[in-house]
Amino acid sequence: MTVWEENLGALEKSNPALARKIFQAQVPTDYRLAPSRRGRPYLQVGRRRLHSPYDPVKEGEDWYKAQVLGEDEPLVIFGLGLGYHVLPLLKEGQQAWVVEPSLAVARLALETNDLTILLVENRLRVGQDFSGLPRPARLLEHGPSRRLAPELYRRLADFLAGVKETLGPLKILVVSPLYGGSLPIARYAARGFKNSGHDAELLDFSPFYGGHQALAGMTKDQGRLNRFTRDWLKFLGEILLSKVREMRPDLVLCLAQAPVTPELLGALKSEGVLAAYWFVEDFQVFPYWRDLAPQVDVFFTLQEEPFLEELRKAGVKNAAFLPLAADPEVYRPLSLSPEEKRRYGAALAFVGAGYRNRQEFFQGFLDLDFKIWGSDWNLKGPLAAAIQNGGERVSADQAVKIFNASLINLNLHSSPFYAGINPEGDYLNPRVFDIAAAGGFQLVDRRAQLPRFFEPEEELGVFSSLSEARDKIGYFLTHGDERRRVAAQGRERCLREHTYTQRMEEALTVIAGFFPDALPRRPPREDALSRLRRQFPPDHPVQAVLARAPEGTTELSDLVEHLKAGEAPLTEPEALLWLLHEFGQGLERGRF
Amino acid sequence: MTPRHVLVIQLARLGDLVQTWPLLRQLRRAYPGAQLSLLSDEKLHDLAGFGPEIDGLSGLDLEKAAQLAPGRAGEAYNILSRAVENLKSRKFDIVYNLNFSRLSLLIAYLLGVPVVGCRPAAGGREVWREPWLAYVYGLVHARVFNRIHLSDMFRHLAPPATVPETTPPPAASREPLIAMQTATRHPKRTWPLTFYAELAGRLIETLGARIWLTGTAEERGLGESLIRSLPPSWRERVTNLQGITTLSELTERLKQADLLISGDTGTLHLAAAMGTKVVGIFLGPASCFETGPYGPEQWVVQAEPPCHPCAEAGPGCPEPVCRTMIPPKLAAEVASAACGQGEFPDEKYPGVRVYRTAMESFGVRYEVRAGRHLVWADLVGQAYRVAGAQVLGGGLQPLPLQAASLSLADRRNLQRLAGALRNGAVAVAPAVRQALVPLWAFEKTLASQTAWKEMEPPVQVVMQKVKKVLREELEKFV
Repeated sequence: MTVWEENLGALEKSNPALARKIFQAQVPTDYRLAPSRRGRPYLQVGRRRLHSPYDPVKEGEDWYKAQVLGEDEPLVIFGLGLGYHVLPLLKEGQQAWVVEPSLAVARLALETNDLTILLVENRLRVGQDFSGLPRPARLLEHGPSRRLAPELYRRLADFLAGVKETLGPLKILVVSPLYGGSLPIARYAARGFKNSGHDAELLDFSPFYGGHQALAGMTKDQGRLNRFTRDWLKFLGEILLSKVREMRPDLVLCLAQAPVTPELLGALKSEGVLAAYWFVEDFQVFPYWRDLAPQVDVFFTLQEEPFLEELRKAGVKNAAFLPLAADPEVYRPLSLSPEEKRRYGAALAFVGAGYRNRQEFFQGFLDLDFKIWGSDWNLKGPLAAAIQNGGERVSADQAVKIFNASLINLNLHSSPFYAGINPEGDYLNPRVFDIAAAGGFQLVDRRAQLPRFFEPEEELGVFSSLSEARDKIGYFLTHGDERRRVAAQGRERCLREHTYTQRMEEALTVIAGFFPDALPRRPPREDALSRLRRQFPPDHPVQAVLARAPEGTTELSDLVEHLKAGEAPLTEPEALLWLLHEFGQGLERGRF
Repeated sequence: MTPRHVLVIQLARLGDLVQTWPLLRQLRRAYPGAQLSLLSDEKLHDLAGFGPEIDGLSGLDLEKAAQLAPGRAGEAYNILSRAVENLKSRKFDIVYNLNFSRLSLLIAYLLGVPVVGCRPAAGGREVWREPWLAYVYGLVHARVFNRIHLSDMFRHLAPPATVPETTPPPAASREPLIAMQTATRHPKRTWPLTFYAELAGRLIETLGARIWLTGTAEERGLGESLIRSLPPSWRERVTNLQGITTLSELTERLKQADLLISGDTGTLHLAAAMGTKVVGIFLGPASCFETGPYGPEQWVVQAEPPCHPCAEAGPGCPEPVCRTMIPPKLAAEVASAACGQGEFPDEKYPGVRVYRTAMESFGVRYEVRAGRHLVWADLVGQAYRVAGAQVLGGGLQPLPLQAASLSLADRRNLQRLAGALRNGAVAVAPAVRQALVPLWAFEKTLASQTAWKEMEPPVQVVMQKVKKVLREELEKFV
């Protein structure tokens, strides 16, 4: 039996879930094993060596000798590397747990060294899983591993020290598609996370769209085109991976159509981050979820049953319903100029693409003051007179103006299978939330989910047939007060319950439910002055200075402003605190 | 009262520290029995053995304290508090605070003893400048007129003392060893690398020189590309020391070299302080009158377009004409002359001057050896230099300038300026107005400082005396 099989067998018995994860882990190409001068392999990740390329075994022994260890103190080692430094310690019979940031490194370690002593006792943790670690415990670090994952190290140190924690603030990377309807959703989601105080970043792939389009024109040979496309996706995937390594997020959220392949999602997980995917599409129209969903930690959908059941059948355990929302910074009531009102206003308006069901259904409104905005409409068909702007795409800025300027905003969910209204339609499109947030009056086709989000006839108008739609258009055009009341209530409800900020918090709650220990619980952000108060004994002269600071002073710079305004000669602690502030400033400036 | 223990605070960089050495020497001579201590950036302590003798060297690890400051303020506070306690326990009688920085001001304040230079006022909240410092600070408002060297600015803070004769740097050997510092801290004052390369080639060709390239590890690429640009047979004459010397090794090398060619850098000041001959290549914001090589018989080639000296801060220069005004040929000729070999150039390069230094009791003086004759800015600068000596009490007398043949416009401006000083006129021609700026800035500083501490003699008295000396000095040229 090989070392790998023995290790895996031992882990299988003590922690089958981790054994499976490590078994499935993919090793990225820049994780390189090479023989050291003395023969045993060493590992290099990117440009960082985790061990001595000369004699990793001796280096590991030296590391162990350098540790000053107490009696019977439980130990937690940050960083497994290939295990060279851990083995001497285990052989001495020390009680030690190991936290390794990367699944890929863990896999390589299990392939390289006999770690069964560690594994049979289930004392290896990988990534953000700190479950079952002893507390308090002495934390030892494998330096190169800490440098690769400093954030996780800090989190582990806080965890072991029992620092009081709340969920987050988290580091979150939101991955956008190159183009399409889910692109703005990625932007809104990132902003939603930020609004909740998380450090969220958007990896915006839209600038690559031009390149993506250009590829198609480069060759007529389909085989070659396929290869180009594959390489192109791989290239974009490299960008994502390097971003993840730079930022070390706690969570990566990919939006539908983001340029990620199942392989890439696997590689992401090997980096030790939690990967989530938000499939903001109709699962019956777009079947690519089958490949992606099993590869992520959490898969969010806009549809419930039977989609969730289908996902379960496909082996996806952690799937959850996460509806769309609105970004009130974009979709908001506007005061428009008379020119804008004229240009964007109508009795009845629709913003969206020309799906077939809409092309057919909307012919029933041609006798009204009706404007259609958006792309993919047949400019030579019966609706031609209503289509605005030559069927150009509509920007979000324009859409807000249209929602504000039009008396009735029509919303009809797309359906490739039905002419007109889809009687089985369940999920809600973005427009439902966007119109509401903009304060526009909305008339929407009846959807199974709708009553859970907005109260029909109180917060928006609903129709199930052309004649019902026409009746309500007639009613609400002639009852302006009623129309405005409904729109205002719709907006209120939307701001209360359906913003991206709230939605992203819901998503995090779901994730925390699936993985109770995965999302870090960090101490709440502490202001500089509170931290100072904590760092000095109660009778220290600094406390008196801090106590005299005006109310609401949270930063050292505020305190210094207060000191500047004083008249009495600075006391020694005052002058020292000011000096401390100057040092901080000097560091920011890069000179003193 | 003669102090028993003097502390000098100089927390700035290498160049400033080396330019403080003349002050330290003067303090030694003024207070022969006193102990002399220095507080400086710990990174520069390597230099201790090369400068004037110090009885106590204290360091502040600026970066370490700064790195702790944001996150581990308690720890950083304790480090600072211990450092201050430690300094206090040495019982200084007087502190020389040389930096106009909040950092050194607060440290000086915390020591609780009399301060010379930048003095704490308003309970430690403000800087009160000595009139002498306020005067030089005024000149910084129109640097084109500043003829007071930084080293002399520091040095005159100490009581007057006889300055011993300084010996000029020794003559160069045959096949001289020439060090070249190819970069400065700021691109605005850096001569192009291709020019350094051409200069190196000329020196190898005409003098048979061996070349050492000095600089930091980040600058090593510059040296490598300089070497690559030379013909293969010359490359072995060049050794790249960039990034492989410690500060003390660099200093040793500079002592060994016959000549250093450099922009306005710490290396230049270090070489000059080691008594090595220097050719400074000054341009952009660098002005040799303020920070040229200090000591006798040193050389500077300075590009002086109308905008010289410009401000170092701010956006990049849209038209950096001064970068290429100094031709490598001229630099090579000056270097040869500095090595005592070759004829001194008589070819003139527009806007470029060659200076050689001489020492007088007031301090270093830059004498024009080639380039355009004296102009308005030189004369106004000289007048301010003489008036500065008056601010110091009048004991020192800068030597007069060589005879100047002024242009008609310059002569008229001098008359106007002298007139304005006599009758207090403010509405004057722009050129004249600019020459009055240092005076106004000086007066403004003194006046604002009286809010914290009255001055003796009063501001008006000081100003009248300065104006009178300025006017008399200017009238000499008219």
